[in-house]
Amino acid sequence: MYDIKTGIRVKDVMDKKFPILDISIPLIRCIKKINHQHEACIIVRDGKFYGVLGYDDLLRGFMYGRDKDSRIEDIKITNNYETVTPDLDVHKTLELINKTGKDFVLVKDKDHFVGLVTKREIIDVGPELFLNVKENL
Amino acid sequence: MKIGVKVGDIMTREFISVKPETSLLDCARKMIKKRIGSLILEEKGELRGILTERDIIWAMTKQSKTDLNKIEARAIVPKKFITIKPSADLYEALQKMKKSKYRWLPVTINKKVIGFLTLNDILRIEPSLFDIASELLQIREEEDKRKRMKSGDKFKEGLCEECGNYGIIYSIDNRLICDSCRDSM
Repeated sequence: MYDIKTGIRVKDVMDKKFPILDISIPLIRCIKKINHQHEACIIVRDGKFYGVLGYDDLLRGFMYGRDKDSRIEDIKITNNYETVTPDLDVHKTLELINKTGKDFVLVKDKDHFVGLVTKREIIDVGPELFLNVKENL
Repeated sequence: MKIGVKVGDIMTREFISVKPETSLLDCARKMIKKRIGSLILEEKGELRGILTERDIIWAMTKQSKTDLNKIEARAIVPKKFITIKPSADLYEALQKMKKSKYRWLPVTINKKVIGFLTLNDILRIEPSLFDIASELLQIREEEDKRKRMKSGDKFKEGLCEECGNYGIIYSIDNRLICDSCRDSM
């Protein structure tokens, strides 16, 4: 089996400007922060990483009795996540997303979160990714 | 540009759809129950729109949960939507997704929805595509090897004395060098 490289690295595609929000803020503020620019945001508690909040968490939270005045801490958020390094080939990230069924992976560099790779980032490189593989043959 | 995989071969055929007049509350319940992020609005087989969890969440910021029971899905879905034909190449689908920023595309023939192409469908087939690519690479290397044998170059398989990689090596100036190191000399 050959280890095919796409030539596109995680750091080339990751969302570097992902929102970082404190767990105590209201959901309405969180939704406005995520807006249409991001797929998820990082949640911190006392300045330390707590989890990742995505649209599916928000929908579930609203449906199970929360409203826009509730706070992030009132809903269940994803704290089961996979991490990759910025220099990893994006193909490996695709494999990971496919394998875990999650909508995102976290990018960690020397114990620090430096980015998020969501399906949106994958779409952004999708056409080039497949062509790169073809060209590398 | 073509990848060689048709949308019709990889799309989801058993997609989840609702009638346009379904309430947002019922749509949200369906999304959670089915673990999906979008629903197709369909009326007599014809596509009327795509409702996403994002659309519902934005509606929830403006209305109470009880009001969501009174709002019909068709009231908030974007009026314009992009579709793709089943005969289209995957490359075209990826380009459309990239341009529109949508993670899904309804697959239609004459306005009738016959499938739904999601990024998950593409990710599911992606590793197998890479496997096919690996096989092609292997075939190509075999062909190259045969060509070299015909051309009369003296070579064998082993470790390159320059870079240490295993592969086809040539005897040059009493040293065993691989193809790429030979080119860079």
